[in-house]
Amino acid sequence: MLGKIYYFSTRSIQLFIGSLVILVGQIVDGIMTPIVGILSDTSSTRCGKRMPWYYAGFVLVAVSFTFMFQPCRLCKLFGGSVTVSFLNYALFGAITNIGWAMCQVSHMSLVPSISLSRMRRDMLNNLRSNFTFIANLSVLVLATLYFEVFKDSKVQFQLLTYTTVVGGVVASLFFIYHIREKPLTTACHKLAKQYKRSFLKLSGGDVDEELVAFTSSDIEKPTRRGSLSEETPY
Amino acid sequence: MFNENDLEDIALKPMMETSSPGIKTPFQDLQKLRLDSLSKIQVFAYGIGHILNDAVASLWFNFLLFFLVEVEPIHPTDSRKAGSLAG
Repeated sequence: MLGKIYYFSTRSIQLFIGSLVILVGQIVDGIMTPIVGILSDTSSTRCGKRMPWYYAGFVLVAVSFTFMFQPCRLCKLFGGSVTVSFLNYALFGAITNIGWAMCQVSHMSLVPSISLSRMRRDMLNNLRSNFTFIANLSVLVLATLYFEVFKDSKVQFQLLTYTTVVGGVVASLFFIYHIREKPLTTACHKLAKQYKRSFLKLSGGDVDEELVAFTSSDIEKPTRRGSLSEETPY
Repeated sequence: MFNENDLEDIALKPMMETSSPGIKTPFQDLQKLRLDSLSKIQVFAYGIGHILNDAVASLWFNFLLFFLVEVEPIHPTDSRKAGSLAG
């Protein structure tokens, strides 16, 4: 009887601390998402304005998440107290969520700058949602498989993390290799000019080169929110 | 010339005009213009670019709490007993 009460009370403490770790992660995510959005709107580098955020976030997620489903790694350095153990998981969880927010925001906001066609933008977003579903499903299937095959639950979770992270990293590297933001946005820039020129020609007016240049220069303007390029239905 | 609002109206026009079948308007030529330089493989690459995040989120929300309570409890007391229950 006493043993049972003791067991449940330690269990509830563990539940409390465990959920605190997740809470810390979610709060960091909630704070970082708008910050990354605002910063990536104003940033502009040699390899584009979204992709640098993706690179950074990708590295942060891939490295820090491998420490989540493992025994406390910092405890070897700072002693195995509850505080150190909690800080270990909270820290790696927070870093994971910072990287997560950076990846998510930059990946999503890439769509309007690499395509001007509404149909193509929708298609990109659809594809992204499809792969979200596929990723979730395969993680659950993999987990079921590992829980059946391996007896030790520590091995189960470590293998699950490694497989998932390696698969995700391969996919991300494929994305990074094929999508170069700068050439794609430059192409969109030129195509918009071409579109405007043909349009003005067709509508009978004189082609005003200055106007064409002005309207298509909106596409890469970093700070104007809700600018013409985002709203014009091509 | 026109301002931004006019431009939006005019930009909508070709879509509406070409939607009526049988009547060929000059604006149909506009729809043949490419509006991005994405190849098929690039579209696919964009699609799988978010898999790492999705998989990580899936693990995070589905298994982290279970892991921190049953497999690797932060509070060390009676961890042997709790660990054996998970298996």
